[in-house]
Amino acid sequence: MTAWGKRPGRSPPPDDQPFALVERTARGLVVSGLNDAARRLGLSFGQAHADACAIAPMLESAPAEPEKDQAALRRLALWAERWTPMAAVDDGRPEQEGLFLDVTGAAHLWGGEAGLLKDIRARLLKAGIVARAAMADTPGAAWALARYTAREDPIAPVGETRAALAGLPVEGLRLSAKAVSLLHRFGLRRIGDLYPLPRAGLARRFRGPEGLEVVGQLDRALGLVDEALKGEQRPSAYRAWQAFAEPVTVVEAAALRAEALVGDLCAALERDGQGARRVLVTGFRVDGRATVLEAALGAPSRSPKHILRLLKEKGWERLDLGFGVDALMVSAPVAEPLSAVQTDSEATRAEADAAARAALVDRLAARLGEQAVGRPVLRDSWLPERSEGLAPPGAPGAPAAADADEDRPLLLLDPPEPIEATAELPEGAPARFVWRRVSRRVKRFTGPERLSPEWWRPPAREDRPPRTRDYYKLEDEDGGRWWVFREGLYGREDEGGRQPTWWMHGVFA
Amino acid sequence: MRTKSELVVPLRLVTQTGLTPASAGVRTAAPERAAQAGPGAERDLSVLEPLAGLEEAAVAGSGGVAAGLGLWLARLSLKGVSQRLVAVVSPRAWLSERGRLFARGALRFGVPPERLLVVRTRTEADALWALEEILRAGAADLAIGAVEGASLTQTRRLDMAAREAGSAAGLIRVGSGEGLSAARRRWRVTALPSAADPWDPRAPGSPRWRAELVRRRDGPPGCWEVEWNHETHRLHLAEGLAGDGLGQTARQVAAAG
Repeated sequence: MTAWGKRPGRSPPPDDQPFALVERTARGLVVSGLNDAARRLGLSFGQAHADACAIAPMLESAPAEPEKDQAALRRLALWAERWTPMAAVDDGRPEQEGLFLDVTGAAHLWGGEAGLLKDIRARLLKAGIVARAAMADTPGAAWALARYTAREDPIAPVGETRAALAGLPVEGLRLSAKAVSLLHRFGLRRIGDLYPLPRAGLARRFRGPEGLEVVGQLDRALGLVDEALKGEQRPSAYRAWQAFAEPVTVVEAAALRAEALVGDLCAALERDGQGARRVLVTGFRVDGRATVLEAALGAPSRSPKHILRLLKEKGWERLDLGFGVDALMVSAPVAEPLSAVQTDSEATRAEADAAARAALVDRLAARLGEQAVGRPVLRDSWLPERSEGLAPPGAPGAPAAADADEDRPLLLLDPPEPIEATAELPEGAPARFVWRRVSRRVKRFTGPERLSPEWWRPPAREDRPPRTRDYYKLEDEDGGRWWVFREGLYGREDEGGRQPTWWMHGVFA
Repeated sequence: MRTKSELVVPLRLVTQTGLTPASAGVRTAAPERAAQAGPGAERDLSVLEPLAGLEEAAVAGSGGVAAGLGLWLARLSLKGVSQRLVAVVSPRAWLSERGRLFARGALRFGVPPERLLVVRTRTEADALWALEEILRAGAADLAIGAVEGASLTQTRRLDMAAREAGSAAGLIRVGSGEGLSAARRRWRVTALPSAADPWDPRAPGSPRWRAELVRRRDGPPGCWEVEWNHETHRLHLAEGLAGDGLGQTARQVAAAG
């Protein structure tokens, strides 16, 4: 199941044309992918490209792109969420890639296990992917059945894994090439051959790690040891899902159906006293890809109106429907407890106000971006430009260390702008200054307020160590009130020819 | 221009003959204060109370923006104590030109950082949208927008949203503030030289502003000279010291008008 032929601008080679993907390795060009025609000619994986060309002179080849194959497989795993919340990529071995789907409790939705397998293969085929599917109690057993049985859609009935695997070759245990060749040397060719052997002896028989590997993989396949699947997505507890008879190609129509699904999702959330923190709308496209629209919430919510508004702000058109989607899912991967709110009680008025505020911030952040909206947070720093930041909407508030007695400007120029100032005394307040080409005469002033550089922080520029700042609040003849500072001290910090300089840093109201 | 003045005059007639502003009679001290006021300076502060609807402040230059913003935060104190949001919305380009809101400075006006909501948008259109959204949510006491080019329709929308939510909306515009607008009150705000600090005669004292009410739907225009006391968190009329502050500026106003 590789991505070749699925790349834009390239069509798969005809079936009777031998075709190989080659990869550059330390041993030179090596075959890493083959089609059926090439396989029939006796070519094999890991063969040198030169040898392959000698066997099949008409061989066509193309460079392999394993990263793209990986990405395609991952996309497919997202798409496979249509059958189950738990879809994992199996990328252990080259040319053995596949997907694991944990369909516990999901098969009945597709008319039983056989129906599910049939649906999986039919839909993959429609998306241009020839796949084999198998079902068993354990991932290991399903892996072996999918690859080493001739039957279509093999299913190992519940509890009969042992019998179902007995006839399959030992390669089906997902073993390394070395372990397989060792087993063959002992004449152990089928998985069933391993059953009567004493496990302790089997593990000891091979020196090195292969013995343990064989026993471990056998246990995994038979379900004696649990094997955890690593899903592509955190499975979401809350999902609403709808499949369509005909693929939907118009965004507006998809949005309309998603709206109904959001309602279903919120009903489920309300039943359990939960609120969503993240909402995903996943469209399952007919070409085997998933398209996702995501909205994050600052505070848990289960109001369909609010969630729909957020999704609308994000833009339904971000759902890339391609040639159409044949199923839609709305899920809440992250949910948090949310108690029922009684809005008409005086005590909960403040809570409702906070909820309205959170909903507002969500909407603003959804359209303008998370960075655009925030609440100022005060930080412990002497430098004014560093002493304040914007906290993202959802972040908890830290206790602010603010002193209302500090006379600080209402608007801060960041970065400060250089001004030309003339002072009567070198160390004194300016008597006149020029900012943005306007000359102003100082009528009143207060200061200096000295802010030392924060020596415990690394300087922004190595060659220019930070200098002491003397801040003055000035008032000009017209009533403008300004916050200016002189950087550097005369006679002490003008080393290296740097004279103290004047800067405009803020405007008072 | 012509149509605009025709719009304003009948309204003014109506309010002067019959409908005085509801809040005008609340402050009993107003008449006696009016007796000692200089020409051109009004004494009744109740008009400065933010109302549910859109107001506009025209300011001049960078110093003026801070004055306009400061007066707005100060006027909020006239409405009484509240914990609801104060939102400040501005396009990013405006921020680098005029400076960003400094929460420590806002604290002097009795607005703690928890109450502030800062929104920085890419475009003016986004800023207007955000303002309207904030007003419609009804979670804010005051939403101030630094948007220079709002059209008549856009201001009308803002006014409607503000009135429905019962919140105050403010636009700060740099320049003359003569464009078309649906704002209920249009101010011209300038910073005034402050009175000397009582403890240090060379230092600037409490901030003072002149707020000229240029156009108004619900009453006659006027001009106020006010001062903010950051210790008591109160906005009050600027009392002139001899030969300084109010007396002089009031004379200037009289001469100009």
